[in-house]
Amino acid sequence: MNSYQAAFGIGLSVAVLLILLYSLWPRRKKTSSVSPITTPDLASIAEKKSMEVFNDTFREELRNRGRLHFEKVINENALFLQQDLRLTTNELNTFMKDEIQKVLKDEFSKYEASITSARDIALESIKKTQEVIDQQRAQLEKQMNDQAAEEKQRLIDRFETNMADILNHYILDAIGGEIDLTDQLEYIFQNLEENKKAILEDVKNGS
Amino acid sequence: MDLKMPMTIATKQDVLRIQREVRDYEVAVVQNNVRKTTSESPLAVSTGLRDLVQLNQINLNEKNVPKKLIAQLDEALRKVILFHMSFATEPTDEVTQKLVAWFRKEINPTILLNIGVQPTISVGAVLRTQSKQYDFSLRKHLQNSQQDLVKVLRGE
Repeated sequence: MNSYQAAFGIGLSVAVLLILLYSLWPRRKKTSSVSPITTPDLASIAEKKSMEVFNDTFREELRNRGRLHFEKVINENALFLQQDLRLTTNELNTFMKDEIQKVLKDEFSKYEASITSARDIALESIKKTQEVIDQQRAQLEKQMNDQAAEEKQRLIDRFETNMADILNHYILDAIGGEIDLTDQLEYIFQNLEENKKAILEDVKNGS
Repeated sequence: MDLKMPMTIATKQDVLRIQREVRDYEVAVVQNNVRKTTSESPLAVSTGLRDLVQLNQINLNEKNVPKKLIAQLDEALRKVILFHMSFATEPTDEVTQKLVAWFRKEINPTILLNIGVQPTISVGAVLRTQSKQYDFSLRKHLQNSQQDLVKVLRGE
């Protein structure tokens, strides 16, 4: 039984009860404009008889019965309403649960998709960054190697250019003041012999 | 007659010193004559002057000989060929005399040396003649051998 049926039952019971009360409710005697002389007082007789049948006790009895029936109906309908309400609540809970699960599932799916997308974007970004870093590292490495080679070559060239001075300096440091001019005479005479012709020519031209 | 220069007179400074010494000697002889003092032992002279008079057989005690010798030395200074040699340090007399001996034997007997000191030479010497300069230093030698040194360093 759903809520509409319960409401319909309650409404029908209330209508029956109202009709019963209306019919049993004591009414005032109508003051007839017709002259009581012309018609027999049947109505008053019927009323009198009915008053005899439906006396106060009987009415009270009917009221009690009506009240009891009304209470019974009310209780039954309340029970039905309670059951229906419980069922409705259960259904509502189930519905809410399903809806919430569905919504949560959808949201989780979206969230998961979003997370996956963000992760992919982050991975892509990291990958690109890594590639850029690798490129820059390779470029830097090449640049440093080139510079090192250039510096090395520059040092070698400089060393070769100034080799005479460098060797002279190191030889002097090595021998210090130990070498005597007497020891150098052989070297000097060797040079003089090698340049003897030029010196003779120079003297000849000079004189 | 030109003077013969002994090996002990190797530089222009030696000649100038000998000239001063001859003048001093002449003055000493005059003083001795004025004072009438006769000395058995000859006046002390330097090795250069002694070698010079011995080589040229000159008697300085004779009259006008010192003046003549001074004039001859002046003449010699005008005629000599003067070479300038620089070394890292001041050469000893022995070294100077050996060099002068070689120059006088191989190049010209009238050569005198003017000795200079140039610490940058370090090893060897630099000879400057009348119009040329000859660098006999180790630095120059290494510079001339640079290509060979580079080849050795490169293992070629």
